[in-house]
Amino acid sequence: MVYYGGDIEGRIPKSTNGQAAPDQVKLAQKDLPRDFVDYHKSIRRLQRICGKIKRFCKENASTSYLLVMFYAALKAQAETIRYLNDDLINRKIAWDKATKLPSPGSVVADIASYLDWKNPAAPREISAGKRVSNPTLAALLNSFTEWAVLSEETISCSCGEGGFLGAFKSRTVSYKIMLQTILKVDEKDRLRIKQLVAIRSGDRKFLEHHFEVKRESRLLDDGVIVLTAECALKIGNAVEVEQVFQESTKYFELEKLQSLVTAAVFDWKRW
Amino acid sequence: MPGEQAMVQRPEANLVKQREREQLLETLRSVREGNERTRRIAAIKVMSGELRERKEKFVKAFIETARHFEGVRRKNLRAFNEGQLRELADFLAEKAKPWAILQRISYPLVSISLVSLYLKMGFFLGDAAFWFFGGMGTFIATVVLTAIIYQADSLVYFRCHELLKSHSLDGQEFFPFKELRHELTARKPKKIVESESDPEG
Repeated sequence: MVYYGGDIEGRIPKSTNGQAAPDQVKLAQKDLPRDFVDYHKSIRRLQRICGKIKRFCKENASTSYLLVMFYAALKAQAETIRYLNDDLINRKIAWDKATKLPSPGSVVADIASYLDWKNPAAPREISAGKRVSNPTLAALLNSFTEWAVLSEETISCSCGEGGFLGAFKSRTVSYKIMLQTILKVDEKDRLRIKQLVAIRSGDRKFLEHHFEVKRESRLLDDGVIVLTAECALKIGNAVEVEQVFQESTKYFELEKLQSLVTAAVFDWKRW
Repeated sequence: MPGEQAMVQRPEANLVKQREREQLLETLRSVREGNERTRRIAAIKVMSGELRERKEKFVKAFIETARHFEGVRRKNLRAFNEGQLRELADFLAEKAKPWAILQRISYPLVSISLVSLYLKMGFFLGDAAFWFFGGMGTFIATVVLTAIIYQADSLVYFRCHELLKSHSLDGQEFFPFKELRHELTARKPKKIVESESDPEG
């Protein structure tokens, strides 16, 4: 991974006497990992990228669902930039020079703002008496900022019942499905999208026996990681996606998750 | 805690599969339930004639038991709506359970028996039993006989209630509301009083 040393905020390095040296200024601007782009231009660029991703996903149905999640993230960012800026008060948006995409930090920050001002989980009245909401999309976007609850479910399970009669008894176990998505830039100047899916339940026996997973979440004390997926993305004239890593447990419905994500993102018209 | 969001209604995605054993158990359970349902439908069809009689019995026992247990008369019951009548039916069935009756009547009987035993005396029904069965026999015989004699209506009601419930499908229509309403609203035929003096004569 590339470590971006220097001044992350993009400030000009100063010489010892406090004045910015001309050579240093040039050097700093050249070596900075980011460009700061006007908001109008950023929105146009984001729309172009979103269009490319959407087209690519429609043409390649079997592509990674992480790309769909990234589409949702960019879409939310574009909406937030449009909402927060106008001709009087505006800010520049940080774009990564290497990937030619918005910097991961700015994407995450704008998603957090988006969930603040336009939470898709909150029911919105579209006509008299008709309300719509998209809690799945809210959870997917929230997963870029923290562990987010995708759904709360129950299952009839006989896992972990000891003794002779244990195998014949089933009980209802409730659990939460949680997501976290991480964005970073790799050595080949590609954007890596990594997702962790965890099952969280108070029933320890269920977690241990049902998933047979040795890996526990370090952050969630009562959760196990059931899916780790990672893909590398490069968007130039064409979209290039590479599935870097994917590990799932036997009893997790990955296909269902993929269709859930696709439906929640592409079928939602009220960004 | 991380990941705790505001309370939102999330759709169930069912992203966790059941294990093969659990799937089998689920299948077996649904097969069993299906078979049981089929059996009950067949039994209800066969016993539909008998059910009608039971419903009539239930209605009469219900009115009697309501009067006996709660002091609610026929004319009071007319003012009750359907929900109240259904609730009352369940409430009376709880009260009419034999062990509930025994529990209710056992407190005074225990005290009477103890006093009578202390005084070496029997009391009404216990006189003969005391000599035959001893003290405890007296007590048990008294309790059982009193229960049967005094609670006969409620026992009939309880039995009808249980039978109707066992022959209802998915808990629906065990309560013969239509019959009860008809019974409650039916007017008693007026007594025809014949005049003593013949107008023609």
